[in-house]
Amino acid sequence: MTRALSTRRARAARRRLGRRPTRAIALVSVSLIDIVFLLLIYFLVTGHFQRAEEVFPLLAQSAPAAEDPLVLAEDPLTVRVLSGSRGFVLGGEMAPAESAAALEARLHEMILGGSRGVLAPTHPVLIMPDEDAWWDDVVQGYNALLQSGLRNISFGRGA
Amino acid sequence: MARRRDWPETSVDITGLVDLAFLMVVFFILVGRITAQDLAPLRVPEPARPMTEPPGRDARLVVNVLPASPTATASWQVAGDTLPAEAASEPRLEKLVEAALEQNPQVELTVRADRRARWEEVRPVLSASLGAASARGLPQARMRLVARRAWESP
Repeated sequence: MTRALSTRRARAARRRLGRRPTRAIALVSVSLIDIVFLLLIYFLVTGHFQRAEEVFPLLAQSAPAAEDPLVLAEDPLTVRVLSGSRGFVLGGEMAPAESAAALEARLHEMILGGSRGVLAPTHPVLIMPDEDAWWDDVVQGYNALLQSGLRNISFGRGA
Repeated sequence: MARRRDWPETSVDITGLVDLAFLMVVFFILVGRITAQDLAPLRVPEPARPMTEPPGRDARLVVNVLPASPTATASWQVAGDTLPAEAASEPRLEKLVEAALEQNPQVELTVRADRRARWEEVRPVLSASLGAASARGLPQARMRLVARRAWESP
């Protein structure tokens, strides 16, 4: 009774003042926030961190450089990458180096300063992988050549 | 008549929390799209003590070499295209590399091959880079071979 009276009085007062009743506006964002949190949890669960990848720079000659007629072209040292992870065959050697570490050890001997040092670091090296050699083995061999100090490395068409 | 006890009205302002959640969702969506474009799911080689360097920020064209599997043939993924890794696709691959070089002659071809890819599947990518550089009159083809640094115990 008292409440109805006060409401009536309030309406009358508003009418006197010429104002219309105002309504509070509210945006219900609860479900939106629920969805955002669900998305966040989904991305956190399905995403994964991965280690950064690095690169080996490789500069390949697209056209043969103008040759100096007074300089004898050097025969490249060939490194054959055997299929099936069977190792690497260096030059004309018969026994393959069974791993990249073994290849690196042999190359260290052949570089100037080694026990059989005949090769300069600028000596051309040609990597000749077998057609079905794993890319992993090719990269391991390439890395072994770089570790040995050789810098003039290119890839051949394959054995 | 029992009188109801009046509890004090409490509220928690979660505006900052929701803002942060929105930012994280937007971050995950954007990063997911950017990385998915260039990084096909494959396992790159992890040589011991690699003589690699960080990739840097130079312009690059990434060619992903996906190996053959029991359910799919080997393929090359480049610039949003997926090409079967076979001789018939080599001219198309070379055209894509050439188009990238035409836009920016400094672009470097990044060869991102799975460790179980075979040489016969990777070699055409290197050849395409050389062929495209030659067609554009460039004396050298700049390439980068992707590898990952293996975990090393301290």
